[in-house]
Amino acid sequence: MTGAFTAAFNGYVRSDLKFGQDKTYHAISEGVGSNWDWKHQAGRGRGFFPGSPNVEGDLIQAMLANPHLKVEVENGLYDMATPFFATEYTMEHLGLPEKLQKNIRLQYYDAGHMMYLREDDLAKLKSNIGAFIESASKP
Amino acid sequence: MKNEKDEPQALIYSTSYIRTDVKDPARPISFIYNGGPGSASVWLHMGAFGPRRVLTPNAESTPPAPYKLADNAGTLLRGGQSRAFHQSARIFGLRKFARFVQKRVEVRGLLLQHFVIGSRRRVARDVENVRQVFAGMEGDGSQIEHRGNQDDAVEVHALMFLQIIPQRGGAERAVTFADQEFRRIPDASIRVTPARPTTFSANMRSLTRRALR
Repeated sequence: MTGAFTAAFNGYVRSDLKFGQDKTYHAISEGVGSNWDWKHQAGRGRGFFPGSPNVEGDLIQAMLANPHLKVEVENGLYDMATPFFATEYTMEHLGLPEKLQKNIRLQYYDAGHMMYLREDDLAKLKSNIGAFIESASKP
Repeated sequence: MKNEKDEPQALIYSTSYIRTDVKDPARPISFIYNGGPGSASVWLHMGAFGPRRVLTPNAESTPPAPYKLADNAGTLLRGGQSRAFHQSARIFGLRKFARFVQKRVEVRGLLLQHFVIGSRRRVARDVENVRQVFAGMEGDGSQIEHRGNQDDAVEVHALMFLQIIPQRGGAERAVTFADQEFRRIPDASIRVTPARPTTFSANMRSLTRRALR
């Protein structure tokens, strides 16, 4: 599927969007991936110890700072790369107050994490995210 | 991205779709990022949320080119025909990426123009330009994807022997180029030679090893 996407995008961006004639598009850059800086300093501290790249703290901090922030996770039931059960576990162990925990919603699809490759799930994804945006943008 | 001499080395790129025919201050704006170190936005852009979508089959191996685009019923954009396109590219001076950018992007860029494959069992001595070519098997082995090289948008189907030869001119169009406007005759050519699947992976390994030597 990678070749189909990369080829189609390269054609689309040059023919339809008229951009990047002389440029290379890196759909998956191993140069970036293998040089990725995995250090993550949670919160606002400036300590020297990198810790492990866990970004739960960032989510917790954002949700505490903005109690109106809504979060929705789209899960593929058959995903072996980012399995839904780990997401459930994580989302249920953030230690948020009950009121804020209600701001998190999980949705499920009969596919992997690229659930949109399956047409039924593409429609469901649109419907879920449309509803999420509607509800989250209400004053 | 710029290098230490402040010369541009790579572009970080985003695509925006902006509806220009309405003035509703309450309209939501979505920022969409695709996750994964090194992975670009093409998947969500062209698979899920953009106005056009790449057609691929579900739960089976992708068939050979040509690949098709269709209007995306799943797009989050509203307004159909009234949308406008806007693209922007900005150069960022991220010094820490300059090192690999200098070394690798050039090689990939070369690859895009020097396509590839061989015939028979001869591997060229002069394969400097193709050090970054890796081949990997996907699915049932009937499909090969250029791995170190996914930017070049090549999926080679039913490939059994991958060989690299410095053959100038006369290249057969055995692979689909990402850029359909590409008309230049490659300095090297790729040809696909069917063979028995059982011999495939051993040949691939040895050829890849030799090519990378």
